[in-house]
Amino acid sequence: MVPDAELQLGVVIKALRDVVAPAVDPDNKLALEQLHLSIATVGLVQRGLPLAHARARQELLNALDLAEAVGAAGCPVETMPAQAALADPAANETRLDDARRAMLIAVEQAVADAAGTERETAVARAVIRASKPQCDLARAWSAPAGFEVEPDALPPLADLLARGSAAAP
Amino acid sequence: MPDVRDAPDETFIAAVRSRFSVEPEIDRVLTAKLRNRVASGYTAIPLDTLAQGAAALIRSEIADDFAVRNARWLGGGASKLQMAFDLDWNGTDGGARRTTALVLRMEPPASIVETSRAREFEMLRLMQGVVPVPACYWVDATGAHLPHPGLIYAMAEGVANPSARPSQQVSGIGTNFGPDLRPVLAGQFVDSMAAVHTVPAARFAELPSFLVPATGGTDGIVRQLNWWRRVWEEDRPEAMPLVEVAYRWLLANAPPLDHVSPVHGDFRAGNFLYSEQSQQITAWLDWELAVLGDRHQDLAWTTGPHFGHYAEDGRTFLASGLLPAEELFARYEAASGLSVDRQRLRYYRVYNDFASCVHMLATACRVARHGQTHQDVLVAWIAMIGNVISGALRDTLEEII
Repeated sequence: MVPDAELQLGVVIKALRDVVAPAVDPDNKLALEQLHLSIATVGLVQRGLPLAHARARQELLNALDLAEAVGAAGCPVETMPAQAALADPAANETRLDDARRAMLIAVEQAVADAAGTERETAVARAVIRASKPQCDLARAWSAPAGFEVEPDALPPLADLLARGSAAAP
Repeated sequence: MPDVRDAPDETFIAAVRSRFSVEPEIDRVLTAKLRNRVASGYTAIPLDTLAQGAAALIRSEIADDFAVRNARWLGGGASKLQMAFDLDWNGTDGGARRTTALVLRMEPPASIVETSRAREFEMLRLMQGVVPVPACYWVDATGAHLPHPGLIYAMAEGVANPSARPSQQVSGIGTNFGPDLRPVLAGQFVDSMAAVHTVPAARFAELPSFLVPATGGTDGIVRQLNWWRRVWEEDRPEAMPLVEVAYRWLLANAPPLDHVSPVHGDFRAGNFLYSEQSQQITAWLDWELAVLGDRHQDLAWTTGPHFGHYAEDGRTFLASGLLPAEELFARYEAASGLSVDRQRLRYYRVYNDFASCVHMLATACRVARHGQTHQDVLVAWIAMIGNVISGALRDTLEEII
């Protein structure tokens, strides 16, 4: 459809930067800070928009790997809804995200239930190890915000989204 | 997916209060936060309303002989709403007429960290004469006079980062003081931390809103862990099993406290002001996260990777942009007479990352989602640092479990 979302976000950024920013009272530091953050935030959304579906699939795949790792450590977690969402070509980001959130709640509960049992350490290690792909993805996704001390040390975002992109129906 | 946290009912509130034992004042503010969640989005508060609220608070303390003038917004900070103003009055001593520059620091309906103005006020007063802090005048701990709880203290002179090298980040993160100023401030920075951590225990009676943890015990740190685990339960937009793993490990490995210190809780560049003329630190700010606890919490925090940067040589990492961590520890031990224990440092590095994950990945997202602050766009932006910190937390846990 014309105009597309990328174009619309682009013109918003341009308007805020070129027209609105110079018109803001330079003594209003709160307004200036929020304007610049608004421009940066819209820029992040613009960058992420074409990757939204791959992001949702990859995050669900990461959560599924986590759930299976915890299951292998002795605490089985229901994964069928997540697998069904991944197998459904019509599953949109909302469905994928809902499936992920529900499964993460179950995994978090499994960690709590394992406390004080002989499985506790194995479950903890499984969570730590299986959380790395999701931690890396979240960091690479947020890297343009500038909080990374060594952003170049992160794996490329495209690599971290590879399975989510490749598996998209 | 429906989430009870969007509109917590009394059953949910009672459950989290029962499950996580915290200090009474912390319980009070967290419970109020949950009860306010449904009722209060943020609507812009006009400066006049704030000025009237400040006047009402002052009137309740010193009667009518004063005038509030020149109210204006102050930027800076990621959590509280701040208004500068001038007060024409006769001072607390009833002496000559004078004008005092003041700051009203007030909570929005919800903050990136939900804290107590009563505790902040008490800690600021305790620190008078210990380190440079603004003179603290009045507190409205429950919002009886102001739209929300707040306090009034003196406007401190100085800057948080060099005017010639403005920080490219929010909240003073990543401040680069430059190679000339750096060593001048570094010594004061370490001396300030040592002074804060060695306030005599006899003075803790001046902190009625704090529980004093027992030396040799773990009760203090367990209450702190419960504080942030409770907040995670109350605020998180989605589960993150890594946070639960961290909480369990921290509970199981809590070190007995060897010395009770006032702990600032956010001791870093960005939270002190200094004079560009004298190059002296003029004020330590943002005491809202202060606790009575273990000095290693501040030591681990200020040497954390997200608050520093590399020196001009590209190899030397500067804690808080000031000095290498090992040099900081050595100078701190000399200045304070207290030891720096590597095991405790590691423990509190995990603790700090755990608590920061809660602040950024739970509360920041929650309050921005509900539109409860005067700067949701900043809060949502700063939430992204939570992804850096959760990655660091994971890496550390992998080394120790």
